[in-house]
Formats: sequence, C-alpha cells, structure tokens
Amino acid sequence: MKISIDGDLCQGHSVCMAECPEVFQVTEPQDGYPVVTVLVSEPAEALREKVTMAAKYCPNNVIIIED
Amino acid sequence: MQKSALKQPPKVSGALQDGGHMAEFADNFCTFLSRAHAECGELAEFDFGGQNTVLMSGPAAQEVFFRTPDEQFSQAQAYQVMVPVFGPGVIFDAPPDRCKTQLKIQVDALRYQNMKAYAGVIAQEVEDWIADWGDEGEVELLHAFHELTMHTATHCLLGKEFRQNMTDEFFSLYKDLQAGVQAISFVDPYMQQPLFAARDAARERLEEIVSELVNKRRGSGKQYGDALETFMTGTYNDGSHLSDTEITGLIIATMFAGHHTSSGTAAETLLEIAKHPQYAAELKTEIDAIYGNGEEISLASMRAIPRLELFINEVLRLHPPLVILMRRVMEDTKYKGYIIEAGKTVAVSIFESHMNPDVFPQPENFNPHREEPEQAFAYIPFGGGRHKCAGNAFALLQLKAIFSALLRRYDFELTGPAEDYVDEISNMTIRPKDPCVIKYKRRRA
Repeated sequence: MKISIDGDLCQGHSVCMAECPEVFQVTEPQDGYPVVTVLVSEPAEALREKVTMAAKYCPNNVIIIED
Repeated sequence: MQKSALKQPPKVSGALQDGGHMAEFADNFCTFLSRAHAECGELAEFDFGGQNTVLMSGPAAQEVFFRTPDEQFSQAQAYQVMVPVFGPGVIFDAPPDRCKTQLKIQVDALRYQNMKAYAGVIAQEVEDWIADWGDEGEVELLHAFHELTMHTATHCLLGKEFRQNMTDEFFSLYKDLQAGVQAISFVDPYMQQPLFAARDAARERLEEIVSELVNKRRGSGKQYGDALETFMTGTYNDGSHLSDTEITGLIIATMFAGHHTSSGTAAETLLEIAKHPQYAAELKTEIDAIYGNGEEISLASMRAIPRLELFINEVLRLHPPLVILMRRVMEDTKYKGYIIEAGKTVAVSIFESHMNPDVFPQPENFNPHREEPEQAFAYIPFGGGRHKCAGNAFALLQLKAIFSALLRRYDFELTGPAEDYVDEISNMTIRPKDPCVIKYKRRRA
C-alpha cells in the first residue's frame, strides 16, 4: 500500500489525523492554511482499514491509495 | 504560441442589448446553460449583465477552473457582490493575507475536533423538532427544514444560550440580508434601492447583537465549543484577534454558505424518499441495523451509513443547491488553443456538469445505485480545489443525523401525483416549489 496526497486540495480539516494518526499529520505553517503531511508513505498492511477510512472521509478527496 | 494565434471563446447567441443574457439566465438557467454548452462546447461566452462570462464545461475544463490558483482566477474579485453583506474588511474585501487567515479560522470552526460537539447539538435539535409530530400528519418541507436548519446553524455557530433566547428579530434580519443578494446586485450592489438599504440596516443591527454576545463572553473564562469561540480565539500572524465587524462577517458568511443549501437539500432528500418507496425501504433496513442496538445518532451520524450517503449524493447530483461558481480572470489564460482574457469572468455550472449524459447515463433519473464517475471534477456539489465548500462534512453529518431520526420513526408519502412536485429554478438556486407538502405516519414496530 502506497499513499500520496493531492496537496492542491487540502484544507486541513484533520479528519485523516483523527482516523489514522499513525500515517497522517496536519500541521499549521506560520502563514497560510494547515495542510496534511504523510508520515509513512508505505504503511503496514495492518493500517489499511484506518487509512481507507481516512481517504473515504476526507472532505476534499486529498488522499490517494495505490494497490 | 503568439496571442494572435489564439482564438476567442465562441459566443452564445441571443444576447439582448440590455443586460445581455441576464434575463434569460434569471428566468430559467437550466435551459440557458444547456443551450450555451450545446451551442459552443467546452467554452461558451455569454453576457451576464455587462460582465463577459466564459462558461467552462466538461470535466477537463472544470478541472482547470478548480486548480488554477487564486492569483490567476480570483474568487474574491468575482464575489464583490457579497461585500456589503459580509461587511467591510471581511473575506472578499480583505487584503489577500488577511482573507486567507479569516478563511483558515472559518475552516478551524469546522474541523474534526469541533464536529463532535456539533453532532450532539444536531441530534438534540432534531429530537426537539419532531417531538410534537405525533403518530401521523402532514408537513410542509420548505418551512419545516428552514426552521430546523436555522436552529442547528445558530446553535453550532453562536451557542446554546443564544439559540435558546433567539427572537424573531434574528430571523427577520437574516431575511433582509438574504433579500439583499439578487441578480441586480451583480450589476451594482451599492445603488439606491430599498432592498439594499434594508440589507445595510440588518448588517448593522446584527453586528450590535454579535458585539453584545462577544463582550459578555470576553473574560468569562468559559468554554463554549461553538464556532463563535473559534472565531474569537483565532489570531492573525501578528497575534491580533478578529474585530467584532470581522467576527460578525464570518458568522454571516458561514450562515450564507450553509443555511439555505442545507435546508433545501434536506427538503429534496425527504421528497425523493417519499417519491421512491423501494429506495426508502433500503434506507430503513440500513438504519434499523445501525440503530437496532441502541447506538446514539450523534455518534453514528459521524460514521459510515453507506446507503444513506449514496442516496444523499444522488440528491445533490440532481438538485445541487448552488447553480454556478465564478472566478474573475486576473491574467490571460490559455485553454486548448483559446484565450480567456483578463477582466472576463469564468464560470462552472454545477447543474450542467451533473446533467452530462457522458458522465451520468440517463442524468434526469434519480438513481441512488448509480456508480461514482471515474472523472474527477465531474461530480461537484461542493465545488472543488482550494475553495471547495469547507462545510461539506458538516452538511453530510447534519443530513445523516436528520434522516437517521426521521427514518427510524416514520414512513413518508406524497399527498398528490409525483408530477406535481417540481423544482423551483428561478433566482439562481434549485429548491422544491413552495408549498411542498408530504404525509408522514409512524412506522409499525
């Protein structure tokens, strides 16, 4: 499982961080919008369900899961 | 490529001397937008009351619309009509960096952490709202959902105390603000006009009300868990807080974005439930399974309710509450051999996009089993890109809570033939035609 993000679309809602903090972190830069960072781009298979929920409930469809 | 080698977007026929296509658009934007797309293709230029507007349609052109940065396609410049409604220095009237911070603070109020509190508020408001429905009766959907969503919106935005002590004055001020945004406002929102004078008086009085509330809260040391608290604590980069004018503006902006849209969508959803007993039965089976073991609505509506979500998605496809989205072109922009010149407006039609038969087969049919389209930026009830509606998760949470509560208790049916229930499509929004009455009857155990 490989994770990438479409950064143009993120508004920093933080749903992903609530669903799966092991993989997603939302940080707030000094100026501008908070955006998501992927902490682990190829997370363990055990996290698949949580990552899938994060992608599904991201209000902006930012998270892309490959394989 | 040389600028001269680029073509101008094709023009839609039938512009009138006075107002261009404004009258035709205001009368029936559905037929107008279909005609524009059919005549001209992906880019169709029309005259919107003196503003040359290029409709960008199809997933590819729409993706360009949503991905182009604000410096090139400006949202603020396209929505100057909202400035007198939101107030001076707020959002579209603020310098770019302050605007960005204000929008960030608005998104903060809608973040996951606040959502849990809102879920509880909404569940309670829905319970109170249906408390006196009894075993059976009739309900007029537009007014019923207008009232409910006004209660949830003020409760989540301004807090419990405000909501409980809210007078009719607030409703009437809000109504005056809404009436201040008309097709004519796009021509000049500052002309001498009774509607605009009422709008300005309402804006001023609302700020007094909000200031009073803010002053009461400052220094109280209490936690409220509502949007007003987030707006009051948010800071600019220099550490300063939002002024009362700005806080009032954010409240109005949030109400404007979320209230009539949610209210109209709730009405359309219940109407589709009453129209389609076979799909309603599927929803009830799902709801019964989820809530059968005593699950609370506030928690469950934050989780997956797949069939209900697909049903709501299809309602939003067929009845998107907003019709077009606009941006002002700040720099000449090339698209497939065409040039869209600075100073023009670009627009995307949510309605037209959702009625594209290449993406949605038999688009006029309501079908909640429809497959999700493969193309991004084709299904766009909340817009897309950086300016995508920040309240979309809130809206879905609210709709899931409302229909969990209603479907557990009642069956719904139409009071007359289905053909009598049509959408009202004037005034740049889509909603059921008033009055829209349906019957409800308590479900047998």
